[in-house]
Amino acid sequence: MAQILVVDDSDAVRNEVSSFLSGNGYTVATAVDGKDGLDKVKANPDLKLVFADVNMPNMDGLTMIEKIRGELGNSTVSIIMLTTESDPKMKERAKNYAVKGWIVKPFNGANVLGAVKGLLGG
Amino acid sequence: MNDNSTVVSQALVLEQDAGALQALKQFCSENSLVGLKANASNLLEVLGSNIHLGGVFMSDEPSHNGKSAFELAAEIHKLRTELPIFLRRSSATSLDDLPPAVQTLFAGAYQLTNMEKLKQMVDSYIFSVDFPNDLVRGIQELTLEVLRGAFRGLDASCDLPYVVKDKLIYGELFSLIPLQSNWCGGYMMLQTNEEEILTVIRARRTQLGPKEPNFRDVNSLLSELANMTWGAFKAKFLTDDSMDGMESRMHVPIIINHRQNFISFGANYPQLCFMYTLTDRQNELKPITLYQKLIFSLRWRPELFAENQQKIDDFVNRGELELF
Repeated sequence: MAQILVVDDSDAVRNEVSSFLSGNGYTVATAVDGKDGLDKVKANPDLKLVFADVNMPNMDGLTMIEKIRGELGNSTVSIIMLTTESDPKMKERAKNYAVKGWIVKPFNGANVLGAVKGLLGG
Repeated sequence: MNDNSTVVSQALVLEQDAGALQALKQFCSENSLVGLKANASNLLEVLGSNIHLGGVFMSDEPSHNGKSAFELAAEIHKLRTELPIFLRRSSATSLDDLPPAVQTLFAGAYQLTNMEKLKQMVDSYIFSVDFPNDLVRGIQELTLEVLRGAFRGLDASCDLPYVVKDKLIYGELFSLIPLQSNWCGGYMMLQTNEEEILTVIRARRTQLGPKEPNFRDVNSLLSELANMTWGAFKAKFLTDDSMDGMESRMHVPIIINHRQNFISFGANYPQLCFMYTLTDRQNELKPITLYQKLIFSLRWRPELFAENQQKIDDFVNRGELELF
């Protein structure tokens, strides 16, 4: 079962983030939009961490995390937003759903590895 | 000396008179125009290889390699209707004496003795939109940052930005994304060629993995470049100020004609165009060209742009994890 889920509509981003994380020993799954991400969180209750984009078709990332906490009742999975957005209002909305952190792209693996290890306990 | 926020425009120059050529050369230099000399025999070739023009300068001299000036103008107008043609006249000062059908071919007429009139026409037809220097400079800087971050071992550079009246699409693929704010409404395009990007992906100069990439990988990369650029543009220039409800619902159809490599946003608005070149530091790859075009066809309120910038704290720590 995957430890980490990467949710982004961009192939390039999913590939970059999942390659980095799996190269550091983590099992990683990916999702192509918020709805796909929601389905995968539901199907994988052992997920420890989700990296989520905001601007995605079908269902955006903030709606997805709202439903993860609400409809799915999953309050344990850690969530880090990985997005081009830097709007303070979006960050506040994300904090309401216990998002752990926010990265404005580009993804820099070295900058997040420590936090990932801390969140996954290893 | 131009800084990198000076916006120029490329103009086709169809002149045979040495004095007129000299006058136009000086005029172009003084009015942010880059002249591309052509004649009746190579006109089609020059038009074909220069699709980002702002206008055309020509004279009413009786013969352009066997064609009358008006025949030549009609050809240009048919091929590139969006380009204003400025007619230098040897005896008349306007178009009034010409048949109506001929008048419609031209934006206006001028004489060498009154270049101020030409300047007014150029300002009206080509430089009709005044793009703030901060905007132009900022777009270049943020896009270069995105490109440098996306490609390993490639240097990114940008020529002087220019205004384009042509509505032609460069290359084989482009990404299109809306830009919306209280001061602007329109679109940004990134245009390039598939094989150039495939070559970079194959050479493992991007974050994409497949050893045998295909067009979908190109699409993905271009899409992400557009996304990153759009995000940086939003962070730097756009606030969350609410727009008038009616404004935010205004849209016009976009027309794309693949056969003609033509795209129209429903208005004769000039496009702000930047040409980026990616060059390989190891000299193993051929240079890659990307065109970025912004067209604010839905809304343009530059008086609000300056107010906006005072509200924006544009320091964004990219790539860093902000823990809550």
